[in-house]
Amino acid sequence: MRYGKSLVVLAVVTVLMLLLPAVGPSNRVLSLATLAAIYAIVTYGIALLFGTGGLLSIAHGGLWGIGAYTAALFAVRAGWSFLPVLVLSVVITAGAATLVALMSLRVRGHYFTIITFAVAEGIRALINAWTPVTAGTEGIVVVAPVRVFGFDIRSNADWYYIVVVSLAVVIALTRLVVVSRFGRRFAATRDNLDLAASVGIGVSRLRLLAFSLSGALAGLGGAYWAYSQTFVHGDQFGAAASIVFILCMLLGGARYTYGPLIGAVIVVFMPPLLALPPLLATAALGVVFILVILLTPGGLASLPERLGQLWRRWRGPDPRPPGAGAAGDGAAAAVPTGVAS
Amino acid sequence: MRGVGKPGALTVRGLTKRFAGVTALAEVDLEVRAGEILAVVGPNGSGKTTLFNVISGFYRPTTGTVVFDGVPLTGKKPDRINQLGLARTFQQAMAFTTGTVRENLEIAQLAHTDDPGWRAELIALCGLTEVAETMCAGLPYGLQRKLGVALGLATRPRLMLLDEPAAGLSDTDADDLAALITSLPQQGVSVACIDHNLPFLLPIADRVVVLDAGRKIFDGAPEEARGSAAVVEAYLGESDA
Ligand SMILES: Nc1ncnc2c1ncn2[C@@H]1O[C@H](COP(=O)(O)OP(=O)(O)O)[C@@H](O)[C@H]1O
Ligand SMILES: [Mg+2]
Repeated sequence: MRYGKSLVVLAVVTVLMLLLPAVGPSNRVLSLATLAAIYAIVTYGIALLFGTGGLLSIAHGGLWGIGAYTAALFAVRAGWSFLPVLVLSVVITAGAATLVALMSLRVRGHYFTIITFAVAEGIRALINAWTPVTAGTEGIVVVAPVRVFGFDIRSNADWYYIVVVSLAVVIALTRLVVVSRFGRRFAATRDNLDLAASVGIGVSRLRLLAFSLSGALAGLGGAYWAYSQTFVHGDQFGAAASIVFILCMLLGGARYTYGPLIGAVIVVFMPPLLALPPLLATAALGVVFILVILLTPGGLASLPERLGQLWRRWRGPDPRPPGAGAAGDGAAAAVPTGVAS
Repeated sequence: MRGVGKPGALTVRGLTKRFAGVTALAEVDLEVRAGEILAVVGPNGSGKTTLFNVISGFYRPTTGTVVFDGVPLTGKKPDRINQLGLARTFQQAMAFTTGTVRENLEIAQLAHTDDPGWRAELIALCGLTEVAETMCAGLPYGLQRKLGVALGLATRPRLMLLDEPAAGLSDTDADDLAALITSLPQQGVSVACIDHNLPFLLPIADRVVVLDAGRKIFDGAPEEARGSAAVVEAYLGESDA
């Protein structure tokens, strides 16, 4: 029932997002919005691991490259049509993620993160070095006719619609995973690994499944990246890309339904909005990041909840929580996606 | 309304556990018979917790075997072993800090059949009624220990390993806990219990195993343990240290 309510909110948010092309944005805004949605898709995968399971993966910046290259190669070289390519990218990246998980989840804590870092850089190196298949550092131009359910996908707006609808499905799916028995078990392993194992929770299998699922999302994001950017290149992938996704996640809030989306929108739109030289724009993003971490460590999506707490502490005990009437997106977005009761 | 199952039996043979340089367990043979309460005692560092960690799959034995109701446990993971009907508590009080006492018991059943009736019963049985809706993070130590026992029992085990469950409990709470442990065999749960508090443990035990420096130095009736020269010496040795 609680999930049902969040689906209604999600439907509203999705419709609002789908209205964007109708208000006549520039092509640049529309492609940035598409990019933000793609980043968000990958970030939801990372946030599932980190927010629910407490696992920080740096592998995803490499994994989404596997998705992107699978799409590029099969769309351009093999001439496959769009939907099969999409499915293949997701499946292959999920498979690769499973292998990564088998390697990295044998170790605990920080070692896990370090191994995933090596994986991300390894994938980048592999893409750059495997010239006969990936064209090495030259990259691949992705131009392929795309038809979905009888519609030709050509304009920026077309891509935007496809990616936003996929994003909505991703949000619904990850939210469902988090509130499911699976997600609650996964959250228990974050809370106390040994205690979770002692009450029969299969830690290894859960983590493996969660990692595969989050890899599938990286694959989906990667495929959309390849199609919408029309060019893939090894250096688009790797640990640097992971850091961007992790920034999206931490800015927005890993444990909140709309955290990754909020984070991705800020990371994608803030630099062009500020119109600063690239280096200063990066610095500005850094400053924003530090401010968010200091002021609202749960991420921007936790802000309404946090302000509520501060307000209550300021006012002293008060049975009626302030802002209870303002049940807009913000309030609904502040539902933590951790252990649900 | 708990369906009473058959209590489980455990057989440990030639169990040795060596850490770098330390032999924590040396060739230990022991049994927990179906429906009994076994006391496991011994000075600090004698290998009691290590014994439980090996049995429950948290440590791999260097050599030796553990068999539970005919099923070899050696090499199995802790979650698998719990699924087979063996639960354990930890010497350090542990809880899922993100939830209330009631939610903790729900989490403990996530990998088992969800059983709200048994959870409610456990909250009463383990003396947790007043704190059922309290967050576990701020729970007083004694209540955390009781919660630990409740979490294990929530998984409906046939054998329960308790590691110093009475540590930090008031006398009244320890008495309540003793009553609870005594009732477990009738509910289909065999028990092996470690504790330093012998006046708490020996009266409820059917049998006592004494460990000293990783070796089993006594295995017999509680009243004989008090008189055993080896046991007295082991404990005297501890007070010297
Ligand atoms: N994980 C470990 N690594 C190294 N040594 C350990 C470990 N666990 C226990 N030990 C050692 O094994 C011995 C037995 O410890 P333990 O089983 O905790 O004793 P007890 O529970 O009887 O007090 C001690 O010397 C202890 O230092
Ligand atoms: Mg101990």
